[in-house]
Amino acid sequence: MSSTIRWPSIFRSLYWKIFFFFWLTLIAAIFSVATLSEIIVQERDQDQYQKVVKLGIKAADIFETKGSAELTEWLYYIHLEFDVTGFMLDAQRRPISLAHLPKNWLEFTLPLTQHRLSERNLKGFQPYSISSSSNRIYTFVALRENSGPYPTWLKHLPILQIVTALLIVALLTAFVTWHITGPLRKLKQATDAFARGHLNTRLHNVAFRKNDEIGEVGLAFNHMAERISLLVSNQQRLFRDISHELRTPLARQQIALELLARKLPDTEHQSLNRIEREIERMNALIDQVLTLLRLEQSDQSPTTETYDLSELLLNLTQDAQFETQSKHQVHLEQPEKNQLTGQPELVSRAVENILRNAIRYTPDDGRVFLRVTADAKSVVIQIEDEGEGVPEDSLKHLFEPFYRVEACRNQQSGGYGVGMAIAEQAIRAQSGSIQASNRATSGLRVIITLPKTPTQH
Amino acid sequence: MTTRILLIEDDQELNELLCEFLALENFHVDQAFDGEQGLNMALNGQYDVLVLDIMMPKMNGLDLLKQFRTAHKTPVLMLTARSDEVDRIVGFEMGADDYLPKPCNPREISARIRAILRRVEMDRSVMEASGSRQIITREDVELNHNTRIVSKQGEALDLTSTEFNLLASLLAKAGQVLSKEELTEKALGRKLALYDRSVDMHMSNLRRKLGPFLSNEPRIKTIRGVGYQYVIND
Repeated sequence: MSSTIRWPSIFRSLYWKIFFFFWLTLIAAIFSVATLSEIIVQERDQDQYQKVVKLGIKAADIFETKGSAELTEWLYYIHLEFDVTGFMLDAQRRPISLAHLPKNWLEFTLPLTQHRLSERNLKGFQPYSISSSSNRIYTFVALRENSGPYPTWLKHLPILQIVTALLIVALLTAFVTWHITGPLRKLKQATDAFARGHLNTRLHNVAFRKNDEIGEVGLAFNHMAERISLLVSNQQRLFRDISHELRTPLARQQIALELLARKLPDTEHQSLNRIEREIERMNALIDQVLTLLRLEQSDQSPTTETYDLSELLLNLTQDAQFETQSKHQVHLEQPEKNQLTGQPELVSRAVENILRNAIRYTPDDGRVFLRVTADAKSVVIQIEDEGEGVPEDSLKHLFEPFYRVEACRNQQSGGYGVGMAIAEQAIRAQSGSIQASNRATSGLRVIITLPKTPTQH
Repeated sequence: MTTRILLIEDDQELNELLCEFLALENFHVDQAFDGEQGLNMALNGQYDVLVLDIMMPKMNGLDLLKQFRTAHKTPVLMLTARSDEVDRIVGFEMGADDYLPKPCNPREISARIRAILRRVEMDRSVMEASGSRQIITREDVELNHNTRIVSKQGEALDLTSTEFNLLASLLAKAGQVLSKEELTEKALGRKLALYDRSVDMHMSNLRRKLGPFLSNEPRIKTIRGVGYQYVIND
């Protein structure tokens, strides 16, 4: 993991990492289980050895105090009671008891070699050097088998082996999974943020992993993000420059037209008025495009203020109603006071655009509703009209600039233009959300959700 | 006597066209084509109204306005890029009297100029009219129509002429609610337009300069959906 370790290049690839990892896990599991078994067997041998030596000392003591016959008796006894079969030799290696003498007992009369004493794992009769309580040396030769009784705690040996193996596999797997999924999760978060429009999102700390596949994906993401944001900003700049450049001739044209109007007779004024209206329309469109671009680009943290949403919406409703000279009433339902922190101009612009659309698409006998509800954290603004609504498959495109709903909507009304896109950007800039749906009866419903204090991203 | 206007606009062709148009409207127009030239002409000439573009080479409109306002009270109509709220707010703080988004209908420009002139005339007639209204005092605030100076606790406040007019209107009818329409007509000399937030912006500047009462209660209250009110503090 550490950047200071220079792994051979083959180990840097994720493919080989996973490949070797599985081998490592397998080997570690097998090795640890084998080691565990080995330790347990030695433990048992140790036990056995101690037991035999203890019985040998006892036998030597019995021989010294009670003589050969009693010793023979004792050896038979321990054979029955402790399952230890053995015979005794004295210091000169002559047998001193009659019990259990094997055919090859003469072998044990030879001096004990270091080799024989240390070979604990040998089977068959094995000599044990014994010193009695009176410090005389004897040799106790006992039959040795490898299948002695286990200590009680070893009864669960198979379970212990399984648990050990599982634990090792679990630990190593957790490590490798974390190693792989950690960066993938980061990549996902970055991609999500990018998709939400944070075009300056980049993955950091990919450098030290640049030689494995995940690191390559990270670098590829950064390159892609760089390229896309460059394309987007170029496009936006082009858009902005065109808009600005269009304005200058429009401004001159407007004045030239006015000068012309003074020179022409009144009979020509109808056409001039028409031209003037079209210039106004172009101006308005350029404004909207520029507004949208500014909202899309505004990455710098905005200056927020605390304002009363209820007051803002009341003024807005009155203005909108006055402007459209509409017969239909805008029904406003909202709390008496509604303090919010954010950018009132943006909220005002968003609601204004949606409200204008709602009024425009509602027939003269229809109504427009503006309802506001608030809880501790957020405010929900709901704008409903009694127009024809929007085809379901067009709903998700409603907030795209210049999107026109194909069917039913009046062609002369000019579509949604940039207004809805501006509304969406304005609300998103304050960490809010905006959704459009059709009402159960006819009409469009737009729901804006705004946090009471916008989170800084 | 014809009205003298100084038109400060860097776009040569637009400047010429506007000049021709305003001449047809019976104004006498002098032209300046950048900020420095504009400031020099404004400081040295006798003009009734300045029409000022913001985006200009050498010295932008806001800097020009700032320097000009240190010595002169000549009304200024500011031309801002459309939809640029920030320029507008800063412009009002610098002491612009009104603004117009550019491009706009030239008839609107002449209408605004006339509105400003009407208001200046109104100020003058008020000043020359009844002596009893020359000084209005309410609690710690004193408003003098002769000198057009407002002082709070004996200290003069630095108000623009629009802010002065707003406060004068509010103080004259303290305790009553004045509508936005009324305030627009009195302080800006024109009718309230749609989505017209000029009065609100001037009002927020005025509030900031005036500060609250000692009790921390606001002096000027917003009456939602109606207008503004200068509170009588008992």
